Amino acid sequence: MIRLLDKSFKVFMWYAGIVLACSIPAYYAIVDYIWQTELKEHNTIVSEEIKNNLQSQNFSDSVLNKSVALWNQLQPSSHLREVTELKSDSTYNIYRKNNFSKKEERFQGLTTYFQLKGKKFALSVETNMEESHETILGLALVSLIFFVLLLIGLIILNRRLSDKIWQPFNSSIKTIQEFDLNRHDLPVFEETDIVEFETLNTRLEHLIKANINSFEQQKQFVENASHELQTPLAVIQSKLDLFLQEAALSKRQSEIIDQAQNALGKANRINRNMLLLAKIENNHFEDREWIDLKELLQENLEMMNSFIEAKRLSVALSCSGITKIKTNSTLLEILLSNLLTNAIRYSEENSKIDIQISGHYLMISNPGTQALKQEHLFQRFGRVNNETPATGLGLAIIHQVCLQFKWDITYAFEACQHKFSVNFS
Amino acid sequence: MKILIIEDEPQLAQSISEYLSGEQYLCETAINFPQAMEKTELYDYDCILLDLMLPGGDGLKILDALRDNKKQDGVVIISAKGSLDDKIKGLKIGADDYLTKPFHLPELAARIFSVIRRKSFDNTNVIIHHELEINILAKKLVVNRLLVSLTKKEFDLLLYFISNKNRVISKNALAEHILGDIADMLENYDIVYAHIKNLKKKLADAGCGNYLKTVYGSGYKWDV
Repeated sequence: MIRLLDKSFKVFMWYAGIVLACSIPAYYAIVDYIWQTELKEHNTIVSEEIKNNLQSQNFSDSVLNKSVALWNQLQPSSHLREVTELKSDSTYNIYRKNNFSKKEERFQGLTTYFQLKGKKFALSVETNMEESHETILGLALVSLIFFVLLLIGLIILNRRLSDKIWQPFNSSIKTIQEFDLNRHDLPVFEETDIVEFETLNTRLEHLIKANINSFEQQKQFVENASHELQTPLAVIQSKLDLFLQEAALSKRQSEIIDQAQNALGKANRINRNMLLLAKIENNHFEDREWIDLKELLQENLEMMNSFIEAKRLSVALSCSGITKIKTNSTLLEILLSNLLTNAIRYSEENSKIDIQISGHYLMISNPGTQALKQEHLFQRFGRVNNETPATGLGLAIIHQVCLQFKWDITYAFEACQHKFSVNFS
Repeated sequence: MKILIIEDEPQLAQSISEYLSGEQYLCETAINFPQAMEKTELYDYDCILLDLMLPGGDGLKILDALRDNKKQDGVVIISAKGSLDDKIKGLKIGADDYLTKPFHLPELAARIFSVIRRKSFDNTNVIIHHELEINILAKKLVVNRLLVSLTKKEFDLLLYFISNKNRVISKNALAEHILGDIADMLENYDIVYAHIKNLKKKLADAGCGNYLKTVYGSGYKWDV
C-alpha cells in the first residue's frame, strides 16, 4: 500500500527528473553556441588587427619573410603562411593535442586570406575553447545538484503537508477506526475548515447515526420478538401438558406429544437464548460486584455433576493467583456455564476436562478429534445441528458477554484438545 | 384450596385452571387489572398466580396492594419478563416465587404446592401421604416408620410427583425440573431415567406401594 501523497510525489519527482535531464542538452547547445559566436568574433577582431598591423608596416621582402617565420615561432595562437590563391574566410572547430599539456584541447579557429606586398597570405587564429564533454559534465552536475535539492525540499514539504493538510482526514480515519457499533457512543469528528473533509465528516456522521439507529432497532426488535413469542409458546406448552392428561391416549398419540414437547423445548430454549442475547446487547445487565471466579466455577461444576458423572468424565481444576473479578454475576455465570456445558457436551465418555485458572485468566480444555472451524465459531447459529438439543447460540452468548466486558476469548485446537480461554483483565 | 389465576391470555389461563382443578384446587380467573384488584380485595386465596403485564395496569401494583392490606395469600409471579431485575423486584415486594413463561404445568403445580406449604401455619412441615411421611424442612422420607435415605434430587422428584398427583408428567417437564437452566445440554433422558429408577427402587425396597408409574411413550404419573 502506498500513501496518497507519496503517489503524487513520485509522479512529481519523475517529471522533475525528466525536465532536468532534458535541460542538460538544451543548456549545452545554448552555452556552446554563445561560446562559439563569441570566439568567432574574438578571432575576427584579432585577425583583423594582425592584418592591419602587418599591412601598415613597411617590410622589405627579406624582413617580411623573417618576421613571418618569427611570428609563427613565437605566436602560439596564430599562424601565417604564404598561399597561392586567396580564398574566402573560413572557420573551424577542432580537437588536438596541445604542445604543452598532453591533453586533447578544443580550438575555435579562423582562417583569413590577405595580400601583403603582392604576396598572398593565409592567417589562422585559434582560441582555446571549453571541451564539450566538460561542458556537459558541468551542466549535468549542476542539474543533479538542483535535482537533489528539489528532492530534499519536496520530501520535507511533502511530510509537512501530509501532516498538516491531511490532519483532519487522518483524524476522521482514527475516529472511524475507534468506532464500535456495540458501544453506544456516537463518534465525534474534529472540526475542519476544509470543505471536502467537512463534507466527508458530515456524511460519515449521518451514515454512522443511521447505522446505530438500525442496530438499535434490530436489537430492540429481537428483544420484543422473543418477548412476544413467550406467551404463545407458553400456551402451546400448557396445551401439550394438558393433552397428556387425556385418559384414552394411545401409545402413538403419547409419542407424538412427546416429540412435539421435545421440539417445543428446543424452541423455548432458542427463544430464551435470543432474548438473553438481546438483553446483553441492550445493556440490561448493569450491576457490578466482586465475584470469585473459582467459587463460581465450582458451583457450576456442582450443578453439572450429574452430567459429568453420567459421562464418567474427570475434571481437573487448577487454580492460582487472585481470582476475584468485578463484573456482572449473572453474565459471568452464563459465560462459565456455557463454556462448561460445551466442554461436557462435546467430550467423549471417560475423558478428562482440564480447567486452569491463573488470576484473571481461564482456560477450559477438553479432548476432541478435529479442530472447530474458526470462522463461524462465535456466530449465531454458526454450528447448528438438528441432531442435538443445542440451540447454536451458546458460543454467541459467550462471545457477546466477552464483548460487553472487553474480555478476550480465544479458541485453539492443540494436541487434540479444544481450548477455550478467556482473559478477564 | 383456592387459586386465583391473573392472566390476560385466556388460553393459558384456561389450561392452568383445567390442569389444577380437580384433586385439591379450586380455580378462579381474572383477565385484567381491575378484575384482579377486585377479586384480591374481596376474597382470600391460598395462592395467586400473577402475570405482571396486564391490560389496565402493572401486576406488581396488585402485589403492593395485597401486602399493604396485610393479606397472606401466596403469590407466584408468572411472567414473560425473565430478567433478574423483575424477579428480584417481585420477590422483594413479597411474591413467594417467580416462574418465567413458558413453563410446564407440572412445574407450576409444584411451585404452588410449595408456596401453599410454606404459607400454612397450622400445618407442620410433614406431608402424610398414605404410608409416606415427608418432612419438607428436614428433607426426610419415612415409610412405614423407617427412614428412607434419598439424595437431594430424588427427594425433590418425590415432592414434584406428590404435587402433581394423578397427572401425567412428560419426560421433558421432568428433565427441565431436574436440570433447570442447563436442560439444553441434554443429549437424551438417561439422567432423568436414572434418577427415577433409583427413586422407584428405594420406594419399593421400603415397602411403599407402587404409586410412581411409567406412562408408556410419554412420561410418569403418581397414581393414587
